[in-house]
Amino acid sequence: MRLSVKYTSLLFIAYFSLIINGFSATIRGIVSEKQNGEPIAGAIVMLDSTAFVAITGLDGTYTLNNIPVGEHLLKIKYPSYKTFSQSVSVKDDQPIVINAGLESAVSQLSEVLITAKLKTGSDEEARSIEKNSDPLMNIISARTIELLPDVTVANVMQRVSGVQVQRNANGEARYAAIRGMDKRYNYTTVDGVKIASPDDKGRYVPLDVFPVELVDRVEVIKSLTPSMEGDAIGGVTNLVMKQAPDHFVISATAATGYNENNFDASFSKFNQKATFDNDPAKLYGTAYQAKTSDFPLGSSNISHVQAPPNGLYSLSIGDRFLKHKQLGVMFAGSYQNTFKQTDNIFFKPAAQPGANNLAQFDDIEIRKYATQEARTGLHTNIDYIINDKNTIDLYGLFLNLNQLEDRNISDTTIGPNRAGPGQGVVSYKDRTAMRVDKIASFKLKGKHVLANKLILDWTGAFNKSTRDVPDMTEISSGQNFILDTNHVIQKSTLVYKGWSKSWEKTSDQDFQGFVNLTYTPSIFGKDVEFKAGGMDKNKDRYNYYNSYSASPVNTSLPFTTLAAVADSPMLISNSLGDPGNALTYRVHENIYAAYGQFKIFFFDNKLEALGGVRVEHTHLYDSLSENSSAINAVAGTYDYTDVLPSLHLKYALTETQNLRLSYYESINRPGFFELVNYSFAGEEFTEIGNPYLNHSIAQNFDARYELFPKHKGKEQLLAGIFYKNIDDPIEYLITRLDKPSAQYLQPENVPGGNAINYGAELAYTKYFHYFGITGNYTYTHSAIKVNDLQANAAGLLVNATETRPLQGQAAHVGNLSVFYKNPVLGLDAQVSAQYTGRHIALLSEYVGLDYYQKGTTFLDFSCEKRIVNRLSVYAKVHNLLNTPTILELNASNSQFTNSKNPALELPYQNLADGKTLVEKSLYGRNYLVGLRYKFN
Amino acid sequence: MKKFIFPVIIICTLLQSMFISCKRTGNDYTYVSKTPIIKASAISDTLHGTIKGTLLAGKTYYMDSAVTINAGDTLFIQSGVTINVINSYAFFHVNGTFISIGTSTAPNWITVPGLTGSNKQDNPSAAAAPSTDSAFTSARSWCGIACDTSCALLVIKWTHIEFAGHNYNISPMPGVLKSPSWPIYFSNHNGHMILEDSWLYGSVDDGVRFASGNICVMRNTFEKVSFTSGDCLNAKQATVGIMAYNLFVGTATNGTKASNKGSSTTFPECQLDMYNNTYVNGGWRQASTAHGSDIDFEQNARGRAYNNLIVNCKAGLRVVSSPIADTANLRYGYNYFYGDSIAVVNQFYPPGNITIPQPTDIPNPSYLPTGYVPGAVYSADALVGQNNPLFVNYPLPCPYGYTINYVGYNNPSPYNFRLQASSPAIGKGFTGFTPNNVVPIDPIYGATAITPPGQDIGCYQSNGTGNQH
Repeated sequence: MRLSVKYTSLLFIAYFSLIINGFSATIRGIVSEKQNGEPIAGAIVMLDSTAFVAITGLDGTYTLNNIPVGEHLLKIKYPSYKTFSQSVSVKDDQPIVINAGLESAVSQLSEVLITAKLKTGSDEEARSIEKNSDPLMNIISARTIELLPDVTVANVMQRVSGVQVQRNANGEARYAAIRGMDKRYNYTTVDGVKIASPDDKGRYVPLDVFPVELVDRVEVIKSLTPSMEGDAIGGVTNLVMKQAPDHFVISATAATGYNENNFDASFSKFNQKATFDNDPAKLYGTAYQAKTSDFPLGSSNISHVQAPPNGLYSLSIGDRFLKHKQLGVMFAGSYQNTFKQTDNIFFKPAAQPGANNLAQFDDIEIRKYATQEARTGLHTNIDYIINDKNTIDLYGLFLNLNQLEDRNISDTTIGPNRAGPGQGVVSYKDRTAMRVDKIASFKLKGKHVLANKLILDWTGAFNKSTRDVPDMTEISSGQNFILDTNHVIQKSTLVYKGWSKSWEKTSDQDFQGFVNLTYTPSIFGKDVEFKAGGMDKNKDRYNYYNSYSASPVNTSLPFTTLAAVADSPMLISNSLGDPGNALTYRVHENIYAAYGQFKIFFFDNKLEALGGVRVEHTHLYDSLSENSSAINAVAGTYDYTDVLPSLHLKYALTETQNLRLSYYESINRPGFFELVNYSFAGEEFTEIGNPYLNHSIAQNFDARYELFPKHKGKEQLLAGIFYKNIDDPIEYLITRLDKPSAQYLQPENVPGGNAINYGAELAYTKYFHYFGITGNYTYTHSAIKVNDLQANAAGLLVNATETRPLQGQAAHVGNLSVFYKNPVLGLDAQVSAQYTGRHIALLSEYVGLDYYQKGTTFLDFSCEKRIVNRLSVYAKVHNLLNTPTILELNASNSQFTNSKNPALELPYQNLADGKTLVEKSLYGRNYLVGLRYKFN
Repeated sequence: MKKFIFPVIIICTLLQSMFISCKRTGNDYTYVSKTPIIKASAISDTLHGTIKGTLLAGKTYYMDSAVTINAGDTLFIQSGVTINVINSYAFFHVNGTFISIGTSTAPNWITVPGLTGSNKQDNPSAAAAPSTDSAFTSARSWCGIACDTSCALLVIKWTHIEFAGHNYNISPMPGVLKSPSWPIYFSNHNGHMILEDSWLYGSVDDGVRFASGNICVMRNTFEKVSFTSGDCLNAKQATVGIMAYNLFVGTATNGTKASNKGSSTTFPECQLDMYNNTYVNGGWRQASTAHGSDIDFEQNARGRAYNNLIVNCKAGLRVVSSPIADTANLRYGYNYFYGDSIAVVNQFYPPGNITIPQPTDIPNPSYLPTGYVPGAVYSADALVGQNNPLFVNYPLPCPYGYTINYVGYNNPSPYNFRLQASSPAIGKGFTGFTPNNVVPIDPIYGATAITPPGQDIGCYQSNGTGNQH
């Protein structure tokens, strides 16, 4: 907490320096950009030939105090703008107000090149886009991102109003749920075009593969216009990558830091160079009988490193070339190498509760993760202005996330032989996994003015994503801790249990083409825009999986070190591998779409109405690669056409206030793997696919009030409500398939066929000279009624229904940041808090036994100080409070804390509210210090 | 403002009509490939594909891939038939009826050729590595007999089923995993399953898995079932019937297990009568001590367990406390325990469970310390080697605790688990209850006979009834 004390004193000093005013004359005012009235922060305001100088604040305001009586020349300077001069005559005790509009010094380029561009990546630009966009949008600008403690786009997403992030095992944000709608209901685009997903099952793109340095801004779009792809019910995450600037810019960062858990325990590294790219069946054919010698265990050799430092570097360069600066080039690259350790405790639920529906557990797992992530991002954007009427752009994006994870589990069976704490059957599992995600995307875009008021634009894109998880190896050993007749716990010899290995490769690629025609005539004196277009997308996805496992011939072989047992005779339980497994599957998907939309202005252009309709046809074919006619549902073909109308009204109440109403219909397609007829043993249940899933269709309604105060370009107030009626939403539910003793986890269209999701959002940003505050809050409500089971007093299961929110949806999500930006000192500082309310993390088919994640607050701090011209130093502290993530059962833990019943007594049951703890993770604080060089 | 509201109302109305007219769900076209129902063809010497009809007495057949029996069809195997399975992924996919009627003089065999003789190790004292034993290695085995929910009747009499339990190459029916597979799988809660006077040798996981059904498993011999985990007869919810007069030798975990896991009031509770079974050397390949090794009543299961002979098994009869068995509807007693080591005798009433010692048990539980509560740890060193049941030919005391101690029945069996005339187990049985039979009685389409509870403990009776092997 020392930090915050320091911070508070800083606040006070700043505050007093503001209020110590003399009684002499003052000159004050607001400096803004002449063209659009947006305030300029950091402009130098001075009286010529005097020592009186002020710097404008975030809101563009300045104050010059104690000005002696007389004639003065006021000058206002800001890079890239013409100096503003005005003579001032000061009389005693009279405050003078001088508002100045600065004119851009950059001469206007070709007209096509865009008019009056706001500084790229600025907050002002973000607010302006939010205000003027057709759909509903929330935007985080590059400049805001720089100051955030976040290094990936996924982490940035949690700051956006209405967004709730889903985290991976390391506590790092990975996916975004928008307005309470799970990741499956949203899609991600890069510069407006979807990219392929490296996920082996779903369509969603992990957002933690994007380093923030490549991004100009992050847009979260919450209503769809006909020109946008129609499969988002929650919303769309659009990443706008850095664009070629109008003059030479360069910026670079270099940073290092630590995860504090790496100081508490040495970091386990495994030898990833010893992993094998391909499994024996891939190398030698499916008839090959694998031998023990095909599986050396070199990659499982763990070495320990003391507190490895993180390294994060980025570089971006942009400029324009040729005589008329027709050619723009932007290049951005980023490399992040980070080390994290996570501690986790997990109670695995028993397949069935006890009498009176009391929770029961099968296992206690103590898990430790050591994860190294090397993240590389490269982005290039080349645009060429052929002439006034034609431009062409080429984009290239390459992302690589190389994750090396060592997961160590100590698993105690909670069973009859665990008569009390410290006893039981314990197995140890050490798993090493290398996951390599690659995303590549190329786009060629053109824009042509065909005739007066008629514009054609087109895009051709090729996307390819792969995930490779080669030679994932788990080494198992075990021992028993049993009471002897003297009531002393006896530990048996640690015995080697063997290994299991798997190989998985995912490949997803598509070709996409888009054509849009825009016609903007004037009809009866009104400006009208007609737009029509089409899309064709061809996707091919192939997933490959194979696995092997082996156990020692000597089933009581003592396990001392891996090296000591590595050469022992082993028995491979499936020497042919795992042919015909369902994770080896193919999908071909072809989506055609066409749309038409209009935009008309009424009432002196105060009311903008945008409406139209989009038609999307989806054709999907999937098949298991082991095509056996003896089996049902090895292949499926699906065709559906959706007609998706939408209407968006924007009414300008005043120049600074908008009122928006919008309606759109959208869909959600089942995940690729969900349609595959798979069956495999999951963590708790046998998991099966559902080839008969329908896609979901949603009616979405929105209303939003927006206030963008004049001359306060960074400020805003957004208040909105939304309502979604979703037919055939897809949730993972338990089914029995007419086999009384069987329970299967399966993706299903929710029985009853319908879910309603509604809520409200509030976002607010306000500046007070050097201080600012920004916050948002989202309330979401949904209720679906599902068929569940409940154990009665005799322990028998009876059918029951349960009403619960959609899985993963938190009712309350909020953000609050307080920041200080002092252009005089070149100092920026920010404290950000992020709150995610209670939500279902893991579903149970038993009434009231869902695993809920408790509400969590993550607190982060970041600051940046200019040390010399263009060079600044920055620091970021992530997870200041070392917030634990806790999953609980909504049931008392009393049955597990009764020391009179030691067989049921469980460790870690110490939640203050007396509820049953089922999972707890601690991620540790992350510290980062770096240098930033910026020339623009 | 009026000017503004009016068009909005119009637009909203338009919107509403659009919304209603467009509202629909579902796909326009969905085609999911289906198992083609192939008309059954006649039986040839090599079995594969969809067949129906009769395998003729005394003939030898080969099975080179999966065999399907359509719903409504029957595969009938006469006596003295040998089916040599020559493909690891081969299995019987039974949607209809499967009947194998061997006789004591002409039993049927469903086996893997070349895996007899030296591959069947019968030495009770050799610490041979089970992982090299072809009984447990899946590499050379086949999958088994998998009965879908439409299989109304499965009858197996006087039949040897050997070396099954290989994983499937693809999930064989909805919700059934590729692995583990079981030599026999039965899943129709309205169907009848009869397994009598037969032999099951070897498996990787459970020997017989009941996912529900009306069953009668009587007078069989089970040897070397399951490798390091899995039960011999593993019955789940909605499985009702009898498991009696069976001999279990060298199982990895339990011989007979009942668990009402997945229980629901819409289906019958798991209820099994387990009587006059003999369990020898069970539980030793299962490394975990949290499992049983002969009789287990788990999670809400009910039934009866009388007259069982339990010799050198890792733990005695278990009534599990968590998740708790249906103790209100559970009856047991007259069970006979023998142990050759302290570790065995101290597990006659396995600590951590809630088995209530019965005064009718042999030995009489008076050796338990005063103040003993079910599940407590106790020491009964004096019982080591006491109450030898006196098998006709089997070395007791036998060194316990080899990773595998097993005996064979095969060609010819060197051991004989019948009781000597002087055996203390003779005449100690409880005959005062009627087994809960739920299958029809028929020489072909049902159980041949329900052998009532016997007066001698164990599966062999001095009056010649009981197990006929």
